[in-house]
Amino acid sequence: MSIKFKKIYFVFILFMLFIFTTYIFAQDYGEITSYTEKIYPNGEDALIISYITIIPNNSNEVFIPFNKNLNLIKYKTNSSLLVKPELIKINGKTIYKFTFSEKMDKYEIELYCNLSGLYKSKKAKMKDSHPGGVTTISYKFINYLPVIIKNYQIYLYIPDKKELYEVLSPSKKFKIDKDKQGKYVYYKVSKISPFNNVEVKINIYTQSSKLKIILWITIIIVSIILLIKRFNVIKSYKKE
Amino acid sequence: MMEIVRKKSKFETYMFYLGLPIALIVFGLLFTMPTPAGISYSAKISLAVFSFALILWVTEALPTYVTALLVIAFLSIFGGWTEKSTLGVFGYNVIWLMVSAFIITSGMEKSGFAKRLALWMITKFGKNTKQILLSLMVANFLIAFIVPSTTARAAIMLPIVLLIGKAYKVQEENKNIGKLLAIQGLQANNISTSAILTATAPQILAIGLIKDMTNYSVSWTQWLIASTPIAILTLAFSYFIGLKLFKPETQLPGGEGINKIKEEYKNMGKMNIMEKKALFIFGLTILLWATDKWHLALFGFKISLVMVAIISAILFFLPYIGILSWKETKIPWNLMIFSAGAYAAGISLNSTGVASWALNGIFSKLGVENMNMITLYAVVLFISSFSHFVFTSKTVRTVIIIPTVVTLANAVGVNPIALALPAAFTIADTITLPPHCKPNLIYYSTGYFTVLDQLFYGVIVLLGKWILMFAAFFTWFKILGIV
Repeated sequence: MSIKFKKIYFVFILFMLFIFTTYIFAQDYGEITSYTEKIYPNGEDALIISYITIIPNNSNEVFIPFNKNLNLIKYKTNSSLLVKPELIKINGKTIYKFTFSEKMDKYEIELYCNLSGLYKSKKAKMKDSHPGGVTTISYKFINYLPVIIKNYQIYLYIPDKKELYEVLSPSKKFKIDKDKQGKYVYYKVSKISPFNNVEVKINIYTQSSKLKIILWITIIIVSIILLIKRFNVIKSYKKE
Repeated sequence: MMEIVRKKSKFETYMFYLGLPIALIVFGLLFTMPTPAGISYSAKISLAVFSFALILWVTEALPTYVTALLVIAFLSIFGGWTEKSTLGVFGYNVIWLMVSAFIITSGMEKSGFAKRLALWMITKFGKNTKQILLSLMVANFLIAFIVPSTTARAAIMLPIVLLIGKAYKVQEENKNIGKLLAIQGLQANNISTSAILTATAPQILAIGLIKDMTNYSVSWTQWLIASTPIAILTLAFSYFIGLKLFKPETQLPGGEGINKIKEEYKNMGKMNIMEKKALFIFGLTILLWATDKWHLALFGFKISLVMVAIISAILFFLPYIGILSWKETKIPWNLMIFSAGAYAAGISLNSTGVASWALNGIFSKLGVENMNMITLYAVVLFISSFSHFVFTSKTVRTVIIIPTVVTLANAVGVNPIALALPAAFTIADTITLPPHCKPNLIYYSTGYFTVLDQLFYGVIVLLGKWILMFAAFFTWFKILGIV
């Protein structure tokens, strides 16, 4: 074989090994087919309920990325666990490992977590003219797994008695809606690549009732003055 | 442009009297109401400011530039849009295009070439006012084939319209002729656009979306064959309705006989050096606008529409080449400010999501999924055409309407092409208010018509087009196999 051909052959083998290894490596973590997070205000903290559908690996294990700032309150699964869920570290990142006793094609897991300080008032960075009292809430979901998370959806609820001032991130394709729990910002992505993230950042605001009163008083006074001042226009038209 | 002071009708007088209080009350109601479920606070404020401004522009309770400044202030202070974005509208290409277009017009006017062109048009085509108006409409239609930009076409026609207006003394006496010159100009611009696929980019985007979603391809010729009869009939309707709404005060410019005009044209003699310079610069401008697709191949870089206009303006000012000084340039800054404010109000509706929220709300409230095909077709076309009231960008309107219509058609089990393609033919129906598109702003800058004139005339013409398109469902579109 010529040297050039040997080099090409060597690179090809390395490439195939890499692909194969990555496939095997990915297979070890199973596959998250859908991940929905609903984030509710709880004072200054947040209650995050995650609904996860996940295909296990060959050992009936599933792995879920877990933000170290989260505190797991409780969980629900559609099948019994062999052992309690374990918090493990992979490459320095926190992962929750669930091991199931019964083999199933896919598992459904609900996680109930508390995130401290998410709804704590942080003054919004606004320049130039703007209303006062606007604060920012920002939540970032990071995929710590070396596998793709498919169909990620997030519902970020607005605290009671607050208004959604604007959505800073994402810039497009989000939806604003309301249900029994309140108003929320909804965003969906078809996939989150390994070690990538999705961030939802919003500004919230409370319109001052003092401002409303001042506005209406101003409107009434200005309207009355104008109607009086301009009455001559009607009078002179009638005279003609 | 000088401010036109004209006698108001009874209706206009009462609108002027009540306009500002009504605008303030509407603003107050929208400002203080709870924010609807599907939009943010900023969107609500943007809607409040837009509604406030719209009432003031229609009623003329305040000068348009004052309203525009209020829009800029209210949007920024009350949070409808950021101050940077609001003020940034003054840097938009449409404003610079208008400034440049007025420099070009001033140069054409000073040189006398525009007068020669206007007199030539009047003597050649204008036995009377109606013929002049018709020839301008035809000119608008024909140049749509070679100049693929609605804004460029408006900028080309503007000097001609202004000079013909001057010949007719529309500012002083023949105001209806002024209205017809300008409003029919913008209507002809927009309506002609719908006949030619490449006359505006959102139409090309529309057929791209239709192809992606339905696998159905529409060629340039297919579009022309399907849409041109509707466009021509709508132009005819616009022409005749306009003559009824704004009856021309005279059939001849300035009340003079056509022979006097011919004599004046003859007395101009051969073109002088200033006219030749103006003709050269204007001709170069049109050539660059018409060939913008080939700039990269020809020059190695692309020169946008507005940069062509700025280059043209530069040429008019340059020593030895140009003919104009700054003092001789007539730019209506009050209208530039109006344009910036109007554009800011309109764009903030898009960027805050109010426009798409309103459209989705209308579709769901109407219960379109339970309608028969004919009713559905009529409703979709109506919404598609008149949705330009809330969408000031044809592109944004296209990317929302076309996929919505295709999805709706699939959901109710009808042929999506039967709805989406006719909906695409209404993309250019942006003829009712100045902020709706750049040609509207350009023609509005003549000062020949009010917002109410344009709104009233535009709504009637669009209703006429809607009826024509409804009739096409049973006739032309059926023959072509679209429905």
